Amino acid sequence: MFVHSRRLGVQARASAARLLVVAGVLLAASAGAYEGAGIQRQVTDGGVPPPPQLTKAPELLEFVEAAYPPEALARGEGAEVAFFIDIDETGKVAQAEVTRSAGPEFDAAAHEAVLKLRFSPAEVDGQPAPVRIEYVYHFVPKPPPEPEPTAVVEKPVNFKGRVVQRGTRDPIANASVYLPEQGLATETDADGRFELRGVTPGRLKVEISEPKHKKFYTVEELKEGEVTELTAYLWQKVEGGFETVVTGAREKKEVARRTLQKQELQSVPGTFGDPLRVLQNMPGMARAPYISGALLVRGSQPQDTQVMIDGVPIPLLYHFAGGPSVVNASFIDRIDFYPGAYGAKYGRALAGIVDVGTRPPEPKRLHGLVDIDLLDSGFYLEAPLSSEKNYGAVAVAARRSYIDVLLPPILEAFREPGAASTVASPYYWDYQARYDLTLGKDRLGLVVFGSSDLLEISQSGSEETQPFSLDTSQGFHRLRMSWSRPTDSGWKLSLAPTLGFTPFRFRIGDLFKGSITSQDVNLRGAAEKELWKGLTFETGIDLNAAFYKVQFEFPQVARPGEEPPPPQVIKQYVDVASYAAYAETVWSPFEQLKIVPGIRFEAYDLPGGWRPSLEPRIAARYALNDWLTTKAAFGVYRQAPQPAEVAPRFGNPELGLLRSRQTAGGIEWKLTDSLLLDLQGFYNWRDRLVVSSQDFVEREGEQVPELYDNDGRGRAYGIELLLKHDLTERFYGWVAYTLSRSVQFDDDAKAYVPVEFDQSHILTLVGSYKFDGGWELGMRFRLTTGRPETPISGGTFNSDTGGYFPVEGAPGSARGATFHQLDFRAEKLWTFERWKLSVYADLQNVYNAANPEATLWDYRYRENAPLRGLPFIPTFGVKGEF
Amino acid sequence: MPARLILTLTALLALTACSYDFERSSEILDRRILAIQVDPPELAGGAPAPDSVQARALVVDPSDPLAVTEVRWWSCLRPPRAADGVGTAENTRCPEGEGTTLLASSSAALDAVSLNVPLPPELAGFLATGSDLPSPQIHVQLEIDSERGPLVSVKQVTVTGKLPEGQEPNRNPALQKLTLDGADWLPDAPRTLKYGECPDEKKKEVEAEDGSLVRVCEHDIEPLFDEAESQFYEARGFSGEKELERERLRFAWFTDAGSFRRGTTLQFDERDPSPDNVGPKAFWREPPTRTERATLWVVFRDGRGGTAWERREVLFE
Repeated sequence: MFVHSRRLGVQARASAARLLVVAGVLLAASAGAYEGAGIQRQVTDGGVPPPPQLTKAPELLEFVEAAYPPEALARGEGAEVAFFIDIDETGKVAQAEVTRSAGPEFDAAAHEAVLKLRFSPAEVDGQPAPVRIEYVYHFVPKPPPEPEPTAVVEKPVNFKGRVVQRGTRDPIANASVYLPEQGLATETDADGRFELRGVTPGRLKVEISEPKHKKFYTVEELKEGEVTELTAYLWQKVEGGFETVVTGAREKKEVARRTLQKQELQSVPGTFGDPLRVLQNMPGMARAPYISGALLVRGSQPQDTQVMIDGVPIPLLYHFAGGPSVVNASFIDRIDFYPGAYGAKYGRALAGIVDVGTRPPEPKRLHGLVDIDLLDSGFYLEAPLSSEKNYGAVAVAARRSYIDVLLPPILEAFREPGAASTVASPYYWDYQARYDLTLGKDRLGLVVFGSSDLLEISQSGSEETQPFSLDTSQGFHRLRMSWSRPTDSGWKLSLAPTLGFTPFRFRIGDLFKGSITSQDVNLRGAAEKELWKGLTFETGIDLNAAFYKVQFEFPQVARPGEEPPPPQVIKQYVDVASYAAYAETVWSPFEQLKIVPGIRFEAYDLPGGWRPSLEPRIAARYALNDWLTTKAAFGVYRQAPQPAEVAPRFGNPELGLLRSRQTAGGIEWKLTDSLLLDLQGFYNWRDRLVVSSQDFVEREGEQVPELYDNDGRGRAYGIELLLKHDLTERFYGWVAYTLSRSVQFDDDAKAYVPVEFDQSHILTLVGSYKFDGGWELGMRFRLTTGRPETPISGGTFNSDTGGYFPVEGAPGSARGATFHQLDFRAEKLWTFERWKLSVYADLQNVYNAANPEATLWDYRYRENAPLRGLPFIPTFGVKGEF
Repeated sequence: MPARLILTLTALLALTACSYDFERSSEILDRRILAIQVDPPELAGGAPAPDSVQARALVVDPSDPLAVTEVRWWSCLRPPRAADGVGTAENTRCPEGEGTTLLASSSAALDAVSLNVPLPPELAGFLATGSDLPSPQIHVQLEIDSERGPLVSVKQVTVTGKLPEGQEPNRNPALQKLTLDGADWLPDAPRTLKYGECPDEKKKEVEAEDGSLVRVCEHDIEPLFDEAESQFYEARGFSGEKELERERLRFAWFTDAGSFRRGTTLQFDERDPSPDNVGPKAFWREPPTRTERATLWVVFRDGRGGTAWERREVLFE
């Protein structure tokens, strides 16, 4: 859009008419008025003159256009400046006094013009007389006039460039580029590019502005016959401000889906920048001990919650069961967390679902980051394969730890004289890669990710110990392909097959070794269509299979005088598969009501045979008004036993599926545009849970240990509150509170007792704010009830084992100490033209609360001492991003 | 993920290695039950079952070794369990009330706590049939009064309806002898030592009562036994199926003066890769201040109910 000048035109004439009315009113109403508003008349001396009568009002004869303030013009900003004008008897403006200012620039411009206005003289009692009137000068930016229809030779582009954000080099669209001295202006396109034609050569003052960025000024030199290019790096108004990328509103169907966006996942204090650990601060999540990242959803076991990446289940969340999560945070776009009562699209989890969504790579430019520290180093890169052609875009990330280098000298430093020398080399690595390509309506994708943890321990031996060695490795690898396409008939189709490999190996010395490896196949497909307005239907398949190979080798007993027999080798194949089909509709009979019935049919193929499962689900949402919504859900959920529990020889192949029936209901209250209160209650019944068994069963004519059975049952219920502030440019935060109880039937006590992870009250406050100057400060406060404990009143000696066992009171009838901890995080960001550097400090347990995690007892349960939690731990980080 | 420099890695490691100043189980400070032996430790079907088994307990009290105290014996039947721990008592006391029989309640000297435990009639019939069904187990419970309240211990008498072919019923283990610093150490023959007199390389640092470190002499004690006496038996092993196992003696060491480097040692097993698999020799350290005498006990178990013990004394010149 070209804006050359502003025109007052009609606006000025309207002003003239208005002033006449004002003049008349003021004159009529202000007999005796001398100053201030209204028209003032000259008072003659001597006696009390009769009230003067305005017989003719002044008329504007000559209008003068004021110089429009260029900045305001560039912004398209209009204004009004009001004056009291003294008009002498000749119709000239003697003075003008501003009565309503529009800012110094507008005031000055209007004042200059007003002084040059020329009026016809006013007449009082038939004679020309000076008058004072009220006059309003309007500044109104008008669109330019239509160009002349004559053939015009377009001038060549001689000034062009690109406007990008400083530090990230993200293009800035719709930025205004203005040459104030030449009155030329334009706007950038979606790629941040601009062009200007016919710019007069010479020194160019350039002003670039955009609402979210600080104004940019520069002076460029344009030479005759040349094209000058400029790349402008604009500062964000809030340096490093949080960004929300809304690619399309996601329909809310569920009662409790909680979504955390990328910016919220990387800077919560106390989480080491680990996105999965941020979930632990959501309602319904019990606190895991120490720095464990276990997801304890509504009092359930960690294995009852399924974690997926782009819909693909992953077997390991963290390196070495408690270290960093296996996915680079830069790869994650958002995490959807369903603490329960989830829809038919998901299954195989009694408690919750965590679906980590990776983000498609940046299709326009190269972007990446590198991080290096004492524990691990890694990189992330994303780029289009071609800047000209549509070859798609790719993103890769990888990381490797250095603990194997750091740990040995630390262990050596702590080694006592004469003790064995230990070499421990734990290290981990992980990788992710993603490729996306859009070909017309088809969207193709490929995601590869994996992780590996390796531990090698070697001990030299001493006078007290023999040499020892241990090697373990575990990991997983997945390759997921995806395709989606909207059809002409309105269907949205998608298909995503995944192949995987999950190895676990160990070796102890030369005699014991084993492996459990699986080949994994997963297939998800869906078809969705809006059948008619208010009714959407989705159906799909969800197939998952793991083919395990279990192999162990260990030495056998040698009889005296005989040669040692060869090692015993156990080789076993265990296949676990489940095939599911689901259907779900979203029905809105009227705008405020949404009902989501769904059905999931799943057939589990376990070592003991087929286990079918029919799982109905239903959810409903009703918007009472624009700010209050009620919701409710109910569903049946089933889950297979863990492979080790159901494997022949090691477990009980006859185990059946675990089951939970879940209900939830509550409200969502939009307190303000950016503040949402989500309050819901839940009640879950759990039965057919797998518990250990001391019974014997007959198999193949022999009495064998049952090992496990499905006799477990329990329930969980409570209330969850989430008060969440939307992610804005400067701030995100939330308050999460859970009041809950989770119990399971105890055969010995013949009563329901609290489960291991039951925490009655869980309060978490999280917030982070970006200040000017590139500073971000965040805090997290947690307050939770202690975990259930069984009181111990002494010990009993077991003469067969030589040890003591505790004399216990009612199981779970006591509580550990209340946990409370405050964490801080501070980050300073420096933004350079092409890259950014940030340094942060993450302070865990700022006031060093003791927070006992457990109770230690002496060997005969007479004395005890608390096992304290983690003390104050400061960590520091450095990140470079380009 | 932002890079991080964890400055307190060392602190975290230190946390895992920290220990509390609890009593050590190898140091006898007050009255304790160290072991119960039943003979025979296993009753097997297919052979005439005895009417009773002989139970005796090792009860020690450094302040009054020959004290007389109130002693109570109970027995109950526990249902068969499929879990590991063949021959080992379940970690539970006999339930109060029905099903638990008070066998005896009397006074006894600490060095003479024993009882004939009658075999429940229902088990006698079961054993007579020689059935291979899982059998209930006899749970013997001993209670002894002490200044700090009753001391309670449990012991299982293993009942096996039918033993695998070729397997003998379990018997209690036996030592051939003990040596102290390589020389035979006979029962009822206290060894006389000169306190603090030993080569420098045999001196170790121990903590005195005032917290200071004192160098004291360390003596090795080795139990000698006939490995051929270790019995073979079948048990459900790592593979989940029945495997041939061999008994492996476990030694628990106790003293009322001085300390042991390690309170438990194991018979060497060439199949065991763990660092502790270095044989059963124990190392006893003299007390930080001289005493007149020290008493040492070793309780050895075969891991499936067989138990025995030895007692020795040291006199300091």
